[in-house]
Amino acid sequence: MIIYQMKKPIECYDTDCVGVTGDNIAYTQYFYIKGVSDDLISYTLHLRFADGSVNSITPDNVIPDGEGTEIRWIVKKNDIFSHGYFELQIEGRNKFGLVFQTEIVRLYADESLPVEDSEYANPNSETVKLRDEAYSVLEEIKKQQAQIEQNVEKIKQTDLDNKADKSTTLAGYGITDGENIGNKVAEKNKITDEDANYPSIGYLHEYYYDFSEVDDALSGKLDNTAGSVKTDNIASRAVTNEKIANGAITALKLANNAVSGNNIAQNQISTNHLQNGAVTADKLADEVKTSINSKYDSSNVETGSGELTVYTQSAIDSELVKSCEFKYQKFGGVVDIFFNIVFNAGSFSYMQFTGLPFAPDIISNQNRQISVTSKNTQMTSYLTNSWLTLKCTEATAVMQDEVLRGTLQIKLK
Amino acid sequence: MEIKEKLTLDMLTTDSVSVLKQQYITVDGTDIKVGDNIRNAYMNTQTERELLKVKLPVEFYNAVIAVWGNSPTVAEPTAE
Repeated sequence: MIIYQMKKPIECYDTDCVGVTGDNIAYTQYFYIKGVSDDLISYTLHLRFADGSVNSITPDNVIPDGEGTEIRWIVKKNDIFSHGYFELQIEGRNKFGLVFQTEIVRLYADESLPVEDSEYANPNSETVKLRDEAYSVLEEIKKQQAQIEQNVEKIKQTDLDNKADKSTTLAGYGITDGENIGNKVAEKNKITDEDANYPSIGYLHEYYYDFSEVDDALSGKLDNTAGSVKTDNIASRAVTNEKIANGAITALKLANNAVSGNNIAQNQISTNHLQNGAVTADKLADEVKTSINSKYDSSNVETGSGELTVYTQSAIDSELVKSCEFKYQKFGGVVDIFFNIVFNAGSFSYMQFTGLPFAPDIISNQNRQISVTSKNTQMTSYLTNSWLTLKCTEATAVMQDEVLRGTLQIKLK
Repeated sequence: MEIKEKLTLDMLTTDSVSVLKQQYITVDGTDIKVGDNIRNAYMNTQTERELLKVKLPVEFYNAVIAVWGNSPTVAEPTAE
């Protein structure tokens, strides 16, 4: 018999009561089947309750001992569906099928009793913690629930029809155009409407002095203190070179027509009155510049020398010439050449030299001239390209160290 | 004191060139010209192309030939 908390079921035969339903079931029931001791048999407990429901349970432990088999059933709360009397039959089966069935016996399971929860009245710390957490979660859930209900209420009260439709323009969202910068100008000549245009920072920087520039400009002015030059006393205080800083007076600082060619006495301004470098080429009149530019300057004058090379017509030519040099002077496009040829003893009728300083662009027969050597030998000298040619009317003998000096002029482009 | 020589190819045309040779010394970082200008002109004849090759450094010669081309443009002088 199974008795919970020592409570005995009413009208229950002790030997037939196996337990009660509910959490309190923790009893173990034993059955012993004599004459069956085969560990290949599996057992099942079939239960039928008063309300007609059935349950089949596999025993927790089966122990054959040679003479019989002990079946151990630890009664669990889900084994018995309802309290009261119920029927039980034990069935044994092996792989071939049913081996045996016991007779159906009638047993009793008492009603569950309330569980006495001593932990609730005297909890430990873990329980207290869990309980507090549960309370906390409960409170949070309550808040959330309250908020949800509040939101639901708001949603219910919200009439979507009262909302504005989605706008398709910036103005619809209250966004207007920014400042119009089209009238901002950076240069003075771009001012088209003085009432509408306004200056950019670049304009201000370009056309207005900042304080540093004003300071610099003021520092360059004459000090208007006692003894200084002013408009009402300038006549008595002559302005001399010593009182004028370099470049202090420019054309912009002179009154109109204050100083001009018409009101300067002749010779009033001389070179002694000009500072070094005060008069430069760009201050000269155009006709003066043109006149100056037409003159030769040092860059157009070149002097130098050179050595002629015999343009070999035959082996004799080279042997006849001991030395052949020239000097030249170039003035613009005109070159004067002074040649000096020293002969060895021999004779020739025609000889050419190369290596003159320039290849002339204009050659005429007028360049031909009669030259006479230091021994009064007469020959014609002339130019062809950059070649100097000496020619005699017939084969002419020259003596050792006989010298021929001559001058030729060529013109370059 | 080192004397530096400066060559200038002047009036270089397909038919002629004038070679200017100048000498300099350097004093306190400034080049000062010394001596005369030495100048000779050469025509684009076969003889003077060969003469130029002897007279000029190769890089100057190559510069002239780059303008003159591979063959003479001026006939050799002849006796009149």
